[in-house]
Amino acid sequence: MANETLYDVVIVGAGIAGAQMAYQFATKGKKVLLLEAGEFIPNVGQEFPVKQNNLDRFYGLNIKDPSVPWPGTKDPKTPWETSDVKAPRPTSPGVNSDNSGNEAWALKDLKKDQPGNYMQQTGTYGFGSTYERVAGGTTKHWLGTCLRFSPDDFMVVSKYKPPIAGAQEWPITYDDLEKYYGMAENEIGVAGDASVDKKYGVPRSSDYPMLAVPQSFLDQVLQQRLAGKNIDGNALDVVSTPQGRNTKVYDNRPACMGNSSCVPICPINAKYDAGVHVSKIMGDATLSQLVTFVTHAVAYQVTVNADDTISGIKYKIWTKDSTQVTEAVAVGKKYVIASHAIETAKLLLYSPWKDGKTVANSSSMVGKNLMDHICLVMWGNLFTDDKTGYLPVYPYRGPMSTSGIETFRNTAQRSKTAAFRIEIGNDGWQWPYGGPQFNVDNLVNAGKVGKDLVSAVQKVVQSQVRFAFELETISCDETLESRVTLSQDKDALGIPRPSVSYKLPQYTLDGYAYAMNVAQEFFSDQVGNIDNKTQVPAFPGSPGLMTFTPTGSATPITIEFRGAGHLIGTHRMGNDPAVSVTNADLKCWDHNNLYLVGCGAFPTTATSNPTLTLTALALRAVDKIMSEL
Amino acid sequence: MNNDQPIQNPTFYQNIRPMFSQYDQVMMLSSGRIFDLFNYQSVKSMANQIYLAIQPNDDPNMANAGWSKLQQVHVMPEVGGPWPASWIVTFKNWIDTGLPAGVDPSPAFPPIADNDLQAFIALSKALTGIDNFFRFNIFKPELIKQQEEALATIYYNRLLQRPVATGTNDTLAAVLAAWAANPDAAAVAKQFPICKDIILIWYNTNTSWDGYGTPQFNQYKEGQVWKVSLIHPIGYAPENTPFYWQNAPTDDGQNSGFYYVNY
Repeated sequence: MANETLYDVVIVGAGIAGAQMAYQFATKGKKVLLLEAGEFIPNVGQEFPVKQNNLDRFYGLNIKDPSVPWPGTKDPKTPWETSDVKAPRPTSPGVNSDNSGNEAWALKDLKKDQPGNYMQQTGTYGFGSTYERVAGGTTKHWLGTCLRFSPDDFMVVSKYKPPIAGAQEWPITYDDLEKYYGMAENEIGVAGDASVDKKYGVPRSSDYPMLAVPQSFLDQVLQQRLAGKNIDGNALDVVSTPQGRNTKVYDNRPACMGNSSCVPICPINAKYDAGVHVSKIMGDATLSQLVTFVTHAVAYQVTVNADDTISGIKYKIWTKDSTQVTEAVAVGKKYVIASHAIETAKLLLYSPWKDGKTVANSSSMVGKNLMDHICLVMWGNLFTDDKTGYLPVYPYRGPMSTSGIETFRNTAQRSKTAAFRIEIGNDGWQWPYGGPQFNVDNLVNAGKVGKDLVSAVQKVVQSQVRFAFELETISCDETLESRVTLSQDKDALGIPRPSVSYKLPQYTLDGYAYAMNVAQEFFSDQVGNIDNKTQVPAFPGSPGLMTFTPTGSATPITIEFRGAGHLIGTHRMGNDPAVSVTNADLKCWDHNNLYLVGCGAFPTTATSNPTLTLTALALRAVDKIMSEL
Repeated sequence: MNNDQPIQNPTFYQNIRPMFSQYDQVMMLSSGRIFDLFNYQSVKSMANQIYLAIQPNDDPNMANAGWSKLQQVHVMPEVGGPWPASWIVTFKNWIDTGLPAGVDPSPAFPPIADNDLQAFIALSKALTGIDNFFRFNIFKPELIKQQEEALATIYYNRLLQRPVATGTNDTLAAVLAAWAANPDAAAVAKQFPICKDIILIWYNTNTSWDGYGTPQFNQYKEGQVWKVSLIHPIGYAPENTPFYWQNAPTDDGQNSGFYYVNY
C-alpha cells in the first residue's frame, strides 16, 4: 500500500534530532512526514493524566532505572508473538524487561540478555546504556547536560596523535559547528555561564539564552576545598555545567524547582525534552498542517531505486488496543533516519540493497564502532577538614548535576590515554548504590534502632558525594568489533531485534586506568579528603565488570565500568567513503537523498555529553538539505 | 482526557483532579494560600475562586489574587498555557452540579482499634527514633495527630499481611504485647524481626518481603528518610524557594526542597 503523498522530507524518529529537524523544515514551509515508533506522551501540565501516571509509576518503584516511567517493556512471561509491546526498548543489562524491581538483580548472569529482553547482548561484558522509543526519544530520560565539544575534540587524532591503529578524525571543525551550537542552545533552552567556555578556550558568538543553573551547596563546598589544588598540573576547578534546564520561564516551561529526578523524569518540564518540539509543531496551526506526525509507526525497511536513490521507507502502524497492524510506505524527496545509534543501524541492516550489501553500507561500517562514554564512578563521604567526622553537604537536592571539573579534557596526556571530564553528582549514591533508602536498609540490617538509627542515617546520607569520570573513545580498528547486528529473534511485529556486542579499545581502557590514579589522588587527605566507599563491583555479577592489563604494565586490573547513556557510532561520518557511512553533512555516500543523523554519526565520543553536538549537527544538516530542496 | 468536549456531569476524582498538574498543586500549596488542588475538600471550598482564576485573561491585576501570567512568577496557570475552553466549561458544570466527589481511587484501609493504633504509633516512634513524623508541619500543628493516625492505619494494615515464619510468633500483635509489657525498643527489635519492617515502612515506605513491595506513590512522599536527612523525596520538591539547593538546609527543613505548607 503506497502512500500517495510525496513529502519534501521523511523523518524516522521523533527524538531530539528528528523532532527539531521537522520543526525547522516546517518553519521553512516544507512538508514533512515524521514517523515515531512509540507513543506520544504529552508534556504540558494540562495533559496531566498521562504524565502524572508516568510520575506515579516512578514514585512507586524501588529501583529507579532511567527507563522506569516510560513505555516499551514487555512482560517477560508473555511471548513476543503475542505481546502488545510493538515498539519495545532495551533495559539495562541484568534488569528484567518489566522493570519490576529487585528480583532482577538476583539473576545469575547480569551480563547477558535476560529472557525476552528486547536488546540482546552477546559480548563478554554488557553495553550499559539504553534508549527510549517514544516521542521525544531518549531525551525523555536525559540529564540535560549541554556542554559544547571543545575545538580539540574535533581534531584529537591529528593534534594529539594517540597511539591508535585506524583512528578516525572528525570531518568538520569546531568553527563549522559554532553557529549551530548557538541555535541548538536556543532551541533546547540552555542555562549556562559563557565565562566558563571562554576560560577553557571554547569560542562563542552568542550568549546562553538563560543564566546558569546555580551550583549546589555541595558544589560550593567542593569548590572551596579544591581551590588552588591540582593533579598532574590540572587545576581542580569546580565549574558550572551548562544544562537544558530552565532558570526562568522559557518556551512556556517553568524554571527548575530542583525535583532531583532529571533522569528519568522532570515532573514540571523545566528540563527540555524533544517532546517539547513535537508539541510546538502539533500546537501550531501552520506547522501542524505541514508536518504529518504519525505515532505507533515502526519503520523497518528502506527501499532503493535503480539509480541508488532511496525510493521509500516501509513502516508498520500498530495500535495499543488491538492486534491489527497496517503497512504503509513513506515517500519523500529526502529521507532522514534519526532513530538513535542502535535502531538506525538495525533499520539499515534489515534493508537489502545490491551486490549482497545492505542500504548505505558499501563501507561495511553500518552497525560498527558502537561507543559510549564509559564511566569510572567513585563515591564516598566527605570528611570534615580535621577528619574527625563527616561533613554534611546535603545531596539529593537540586538538578542531579550542576558542576563538573573540565581540566582533564585537553591535556598532553591525551597523546597516551583517553581524556575525560569529571561530572559531580548532586544525587548522592543513587546511581551506583541506590537512594538513601538503601542506606536505611543496611543500617537496620546492622541492628540500628531509635536515635542511633537517626544519627547513623544522617551521618551516611548527608555527606554523600559521587563523581563520574567520563572517558573518551575514538573509533578505530579495535572498535570495528564493537557492533550492532540483527538477532535471529524477532519482536512482536516480526522485525529482528538488535543484538549488541560491546568492546572497549585499549586507549580508552588506558584512560580508565589513568583516571583511577587521578581518582585515588582526588579522594586523598590532601585533596578531596573523602572517605572512599566505592565498591567493585557495586553489585555481584555487575555487567560492567572486566579485567584488562594497562599498556606498560604487567599487572591486570579489574574494573567496573558503567554506561553514560550515550549511544555513539554505528554510522560514523568521515571524509573517506571507504571507512565512513556519511559525509560531513550527514548525507550517505551511497544514496544522495538519505541522511543519517544522531550521535551514531560521531567518529569519536569526544569529551563531553553528546546531545548538544548531535542537535547542532542535525540543524546543520537542515541547512544542507534545504539547499538541495 | 478529551480536550474537545466539556464533560456534562464531572466528578472531582474522575474529571477535575486530572486537570491539575503536580506543578499547579505545588504552586498553590507553597504560595501561602494553603489549599491543595489534589484534595477534594480543598478544591470544593475554593471552587468559585478557582473558576475565576482559570478564565482566560491577560490582566496583570490577577497577579494580586495569586494567579499570574507574569513572566518568571511560579504561579498557575502560566505554565502549560491557559486551560482550553472545554475544561473551563467542565469546571463550571462541576460547580453547577453540586461539586460531586465521585469515587476516590485511593484504596480504603480498614480502621484499627484505637488502643492498638496508639500502641503501634508509640512503638513506631521508639523504633525509628523519630518523635514527630510530621515535624515540618509548623503551619497547622493541630493536624499532626490526625496525619499520623491516617498513615499509621495504612502501615498497620500492610504489616498485617507480612508472612509469619513457621514456628514463630513474629506478628504485630505479639510485638505490641511485648512492647506493652516492656517498652524497650532495642529489646523488642532483637526479639521480633517484624520490627525491621516497622522501621522500613516508616523510613522508606516499603517493606522487606515481596521484593520490598511497591510503595503507594502518595505514601512515597511521606518517607521519613527524606525528612531525617533534610532532603526531599526524589522527584518531589515542592519548596518554592528559588534555587533552594544553593543553600544548606536548616534544621526545620528550609532549603531541603520539602519545606512547604504541609497539612
